Amino acid sequence: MNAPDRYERFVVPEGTKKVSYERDTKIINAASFTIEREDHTVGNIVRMQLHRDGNVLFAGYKLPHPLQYKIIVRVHTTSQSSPMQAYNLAINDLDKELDHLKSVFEAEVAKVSGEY
Amino acid sequence: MKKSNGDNSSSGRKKTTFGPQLSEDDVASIVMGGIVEKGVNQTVSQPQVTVLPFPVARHRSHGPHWAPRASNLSTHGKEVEEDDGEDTDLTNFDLVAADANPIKRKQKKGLDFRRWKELANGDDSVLLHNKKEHKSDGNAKPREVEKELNSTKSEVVKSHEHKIGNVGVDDIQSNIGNGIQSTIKSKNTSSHSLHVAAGMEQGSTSIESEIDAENRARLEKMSTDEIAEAQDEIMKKMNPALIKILQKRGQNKMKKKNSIDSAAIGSISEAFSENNKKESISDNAHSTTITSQKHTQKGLENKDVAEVKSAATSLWDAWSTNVEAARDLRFSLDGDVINNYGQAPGNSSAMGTYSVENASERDFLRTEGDPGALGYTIKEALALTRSVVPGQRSLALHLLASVLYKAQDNIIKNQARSTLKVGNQNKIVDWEALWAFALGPEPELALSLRMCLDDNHNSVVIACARVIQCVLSYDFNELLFDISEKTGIFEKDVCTAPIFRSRPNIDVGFLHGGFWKYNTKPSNIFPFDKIIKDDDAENEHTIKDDMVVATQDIAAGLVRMGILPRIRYLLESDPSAALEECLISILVAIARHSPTCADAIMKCERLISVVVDRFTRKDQIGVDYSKIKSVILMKVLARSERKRCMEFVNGGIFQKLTWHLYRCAFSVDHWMNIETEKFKLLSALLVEQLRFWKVCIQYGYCISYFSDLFPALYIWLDIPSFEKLIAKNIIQEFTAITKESYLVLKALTRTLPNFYSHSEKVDQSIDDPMTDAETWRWTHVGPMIDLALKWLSLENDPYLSSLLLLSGRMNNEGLTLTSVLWVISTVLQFLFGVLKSVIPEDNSIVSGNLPWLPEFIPKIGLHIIKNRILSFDRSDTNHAGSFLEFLHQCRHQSDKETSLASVCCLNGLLETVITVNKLIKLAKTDITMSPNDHQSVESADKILTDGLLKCSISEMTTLLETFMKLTSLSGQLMQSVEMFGRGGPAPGVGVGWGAAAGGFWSLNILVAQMDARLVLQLLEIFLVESAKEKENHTDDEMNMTMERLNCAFSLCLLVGPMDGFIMEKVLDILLQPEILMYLDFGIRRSLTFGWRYTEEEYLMFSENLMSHFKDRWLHVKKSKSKTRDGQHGTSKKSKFSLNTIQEDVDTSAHTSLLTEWAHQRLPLPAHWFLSPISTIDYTKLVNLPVKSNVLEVHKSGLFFILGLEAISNHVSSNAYSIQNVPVIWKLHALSVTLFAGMDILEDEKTRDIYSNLQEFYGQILDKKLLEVGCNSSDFLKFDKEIHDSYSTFVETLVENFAGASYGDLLFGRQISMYLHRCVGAPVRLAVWNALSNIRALELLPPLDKCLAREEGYLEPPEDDEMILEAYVKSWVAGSLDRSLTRKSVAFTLAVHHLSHFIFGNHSGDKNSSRNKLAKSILRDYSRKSDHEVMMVKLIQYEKPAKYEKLEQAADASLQGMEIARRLTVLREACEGNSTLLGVVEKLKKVIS
Repeated sequence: MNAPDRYERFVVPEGTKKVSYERDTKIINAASFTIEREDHTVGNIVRMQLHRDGNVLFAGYKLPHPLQYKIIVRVHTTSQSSPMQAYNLAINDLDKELDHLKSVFEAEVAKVSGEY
Repeated sequence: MKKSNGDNSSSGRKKTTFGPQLSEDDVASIVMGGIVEKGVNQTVSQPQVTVLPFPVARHRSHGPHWAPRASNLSTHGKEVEEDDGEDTDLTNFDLVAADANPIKRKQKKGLDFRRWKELANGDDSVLLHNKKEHKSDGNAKPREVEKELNSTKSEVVKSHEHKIGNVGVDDIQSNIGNGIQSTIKSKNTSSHSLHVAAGMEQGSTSIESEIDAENRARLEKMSTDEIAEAQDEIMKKMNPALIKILQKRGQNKMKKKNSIDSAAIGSISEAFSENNKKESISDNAHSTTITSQKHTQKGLENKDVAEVKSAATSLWDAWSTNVEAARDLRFSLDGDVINNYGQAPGNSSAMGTYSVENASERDFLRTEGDPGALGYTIKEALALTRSVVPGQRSLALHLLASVLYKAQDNIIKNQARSTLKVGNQNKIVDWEALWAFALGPEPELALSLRMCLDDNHNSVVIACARVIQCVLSYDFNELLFDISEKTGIFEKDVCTAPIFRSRPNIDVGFLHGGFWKYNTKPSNIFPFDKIIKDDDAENEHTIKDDMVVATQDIAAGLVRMGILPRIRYLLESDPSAALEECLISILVAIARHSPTCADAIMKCERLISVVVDRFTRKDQIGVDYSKIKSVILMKVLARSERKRCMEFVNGGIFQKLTWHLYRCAFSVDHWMNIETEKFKLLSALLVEQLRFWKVCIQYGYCISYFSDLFPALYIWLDIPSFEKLIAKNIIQEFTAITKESYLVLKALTRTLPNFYSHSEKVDQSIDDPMTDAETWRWTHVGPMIDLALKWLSLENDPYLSSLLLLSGRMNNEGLTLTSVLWVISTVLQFLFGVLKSVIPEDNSIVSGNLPWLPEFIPKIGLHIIKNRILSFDRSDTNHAGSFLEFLHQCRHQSDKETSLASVCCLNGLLETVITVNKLIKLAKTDITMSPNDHQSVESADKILTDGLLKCSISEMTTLLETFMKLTSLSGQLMQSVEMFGRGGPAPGVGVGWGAAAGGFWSLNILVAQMDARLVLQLLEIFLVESAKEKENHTDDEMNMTMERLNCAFSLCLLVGPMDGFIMEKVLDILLQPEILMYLDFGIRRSLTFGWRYTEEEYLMFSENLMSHFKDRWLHVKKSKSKTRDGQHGTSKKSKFSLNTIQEDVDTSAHTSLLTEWAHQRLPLPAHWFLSPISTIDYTKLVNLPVKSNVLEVHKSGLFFILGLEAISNHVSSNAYSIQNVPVIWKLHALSVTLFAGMDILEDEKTRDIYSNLQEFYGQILDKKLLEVGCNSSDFLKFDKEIHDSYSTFVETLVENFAGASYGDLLFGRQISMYLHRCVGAPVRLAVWNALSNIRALELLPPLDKCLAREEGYLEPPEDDEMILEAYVKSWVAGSLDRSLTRKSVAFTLAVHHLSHFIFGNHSGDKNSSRNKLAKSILRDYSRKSDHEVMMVKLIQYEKPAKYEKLEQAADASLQGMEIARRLTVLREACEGNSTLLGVVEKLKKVIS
């Protein structure tokens, strides 16, 4: 009854940024990114990609509440890098990886469909 | 119906536990096992515990809790059932019959599965076993199976119902059905826990398997030669024919088992997918072929059983054994246990002829001799109540009455509480168990009693009434209520209805001590609407409902079965005096049960008027017991509600019942002329009538009657001539009336308007229709005070002084002393009552500002001084020994009542002295005295002006010290109330809860609570004093204060449901800002703590904690308006609105003088003080706008707890303190603080406190570890002791840690605590897996930064293969990679335990798993070359000799020979796999 509308889950409300960045006040080189209207799908993959980065000391995300459709990613890096940099790097790498996956898949599909 | 359900389901379950084991064993082991169980050790004659022990720990409504004897006794239920009639064991005849009855099976069809589900939800550990079957070879993949089972669950349910008639398959099917639930249930507890869980199930549920386990363990220890030898020995002992039979049976069983197993699984798996079927079949076949290996594995498992079994379960086992033992006890007609009825095996066939069913036959069959000599069991007696011969019926009822009475008597007497530990060996009858058995979940007792009450033979009816009276524990309850009323301190009565605690939830951090609930819902007791429109309800209302209620709560059951109309009928039909007395007693007991039951009595038409009629119609002058009890009944009813009291007064019932009071206006001589016996009765009646009046006064009615009644009262209030009383031997009776009169006066003082208030407060109260405008007048008070002071003139009255002062003391009989002490205590209370209404309401009046002091105040003060009631340092040099000292000595007397009376006196005395002192200080005027007072004591007025307290300070200090010891010793008393998580083991009322030594319903606790009150008063004086002085304390003073603080803390545990305000007072004292400052001193003393707190902070702490504690523990749940489910909402809503709560309490106080256990939380659990840090605030998570100060409360709580810990370190006495609380709770509470987020760690000060607490608890953990020793190390069983779903909790915690903590050190420490070796394997595994899955292992701190010492994590080496596998899994999956570079504790742990497991010396049995682990690590290395460093570390790892300098030790790695050996081990582990061998070669090169 009181559940939010379904579209709330993926439509970013007007005036809200998809991703917002907030530096941690206590720890150097630490920050949290709030990604609106995303859930474990993105959170998990970003987290794991960040883990691959040698400069990242801490990377984690959490879903604050099941009915709040946003995730908070927290990153802490060494002084060689910065959270923003690590985050960008991770996103770019993921992008490439997924592109690659897509292209390989499509090639395979083309090959198989060509055979029949 | 219900019963048969229970028995079938549980016998089915039994088979499931036992079946698979048998199928896997070889023939020899069956024979061996069989022999032992068959009674060479005579285990058969001992009662057996069932799968579901008695009674189930949760709610009674969960149905019958143990199967009937038939299925219990058959230690080998399977064998018996599948035997084709060759069984020669004579004792098992009837057992087979009970099990083989096919008709019963069909009956339960509809309900069967539901019940299982219930049970499955209740106790998952029991059900996990089926998973073991799947898992046992490692081939099957339980996770997959689980998923599929999940999806097809509903189908299975259906198919289950269809095939239920199919007997052969039925069992196995149920087996699998069980398994499904268990798998579903255990999804959270990850599959690795199986091993242990299976072990647990065996350990906790049945003794059979324990015996079995023991046998197997012994078998394992024996060498093959030894086994052969033993076998020979047994063979020789046994009849060869028997052996043959046994062997044959064993073989048959093997065959059958196999066929059935596979057939069943085949058929059931039709409901599943095809491949699943194959898998399970092959699995099954596999398991049956492997025999020898299985055997060893069994042995392993059994070792686990012994270890895993916690103290709680063994206690539970002992308890259920004892309860079952009660089934076989035989009683003679007067309730004694008959021991020598011949339990020898030879005799058992003879015994068998008398079963429960034919108990009534026996007296016909045996006309000669003594038919009753054999005695009756309880069940037989119950069966006999249905006999056709009235004589037998009443005989049986008499027997029951005497047995029940004896049981209660013994429960109360048994102070040692040892029966449980002793067990059943030395034939001590465990009366608690017997009582629990008699009342227990089998509803026969309630039903037969109800039926017998309808009997048409008077003798049967009266006997039945007696039994009911006993069942309701009328006598013992009344004794307690009488005494508690004598104290005059408890204004409210407590309900006697049985109760249990609601289960803890995550909101309060699983902290135990939830609200109490009634065992049976109040709406079930008396379905009013149904009674009114009887016709409609006829089809709904069945006897089964009644039975359910009766098993939950026997009194409620009886009421529901319409005992009240029957009693009314009996009363109307002019019963005999004895019956009438019994009936009214029953009514009283029911009225005391709960408000609902009192309501039921009121609503039962004509019942009250019949009772009153009988009271008035009978001979006016004569007094008999039923008259006394009628007055008690009215008093109890009036107490329960204000309106009812008003009805009684307005309806003339009160006047009718108390007219004896008016008759008393005769001279004393008249009284003396009454016969002693008559006088005793009359006195009892008068006492009750005065109490009834007192109740009315407390509600504010009938105050004006005082002027009419005063002439009569005067006789009692004055001091009598003791000689005459002694001559007539009625001193006790006389003083009882006096005491009660003073209590009435005390109640009257409550209604006095304040002495100084001139403005009429009365106007205000007129608006309220409920309050009566009547008040007592001050003009009446003066003479009363004079009378009262006469009782305190110890010096002037020779009799009193000889009795009550040490100096002139003769040896008096105790009873007189006690009764006089009671009088004096009430006198003092009356005086205190008067003084209290003199204290100006206006708080603004400071000392010296009071306009004038009424004359009686210094008079009272002088009286106290002159009569040596206190000893003042100066005045008493010649004759020592004041009244106070005398009382002090009386406290230590063996007689409970005397000591209670003396403590009451002390209480009253202190209260009076303190108030007089306070008032004089307030006034500070010259004390004007009449000249005749002056002459005796010159220094008296000086003492008065100096302050009574100050002058007697030394005496008070000694008093405080002794009583502090007394209270702290009894600190644990209240804890026994909650044995097995409920008010008591049995569903009776009051004493009938059957808790050891009466539990809450015993004088012990009453005395302890009285002591506590006294200590509280003294502490209030001393602590406040010392707090005021501030700073500049010597060490001794500090220590003393700390001791006192600790004592105040331990006081809280003694608080019962009646006296929440004591708790409030304790909190007020303990949480004053000044006292918190003391805690701060304490902290500073025991550790270096850099922070300083300001006054404002103390103030804030105090406010926060005060409101939190009061809210959390003292808040009484409003019941009526809310539904049960609403509880959650209410408690949450009210969390931040303290004011409204207090209002609630106030209004309830006006409308009722009854305290319910239900809806409140007192008494407190031992770890109550942890509540501020283990409350989870969800509002923050959801970003709700509710402003909450939870964070502040957390901070304050952390400070408070650290303070308590610190001071308890300095306390010398070994009494109860914070240190006695198990460390598991403390560690858990720290985790809960972090559960909702880690804001708490952001504040620097709090962070420091938190880390200090962690260190503290680490030290405690180390200490505990030293105590228990290395072998039984896993004492931190979070999942067992705190909550079943602890692993879920911990997983969430880990998620928080990995998601938001930035790898905070303190948080990491807290998490790594769960990897300590002391933590039970399931939780440890859950934490490791959660960390590994979420890649947070590397975030944990290094080992030397963890809490507690390093070896706690490393020793003893891990032997749980599940955990080792988890280590390897994380290794392979790469989640350990970074742990190496970051030196996280995770890597250290993995390397340590793995290297020990792989390279250590093991006997052969672990070889396979070792090889498996080694191979997977090697394979992983072959794929990932960057694991080389880790690999080398693993091989070179040497167990450090000392753990302190682990860093260096890790670097100093192994060389030479050992490395070579380890490489060989690896090579062996490869088992010839060439690629892996290559990997080892590569490693060799790297290392060398």
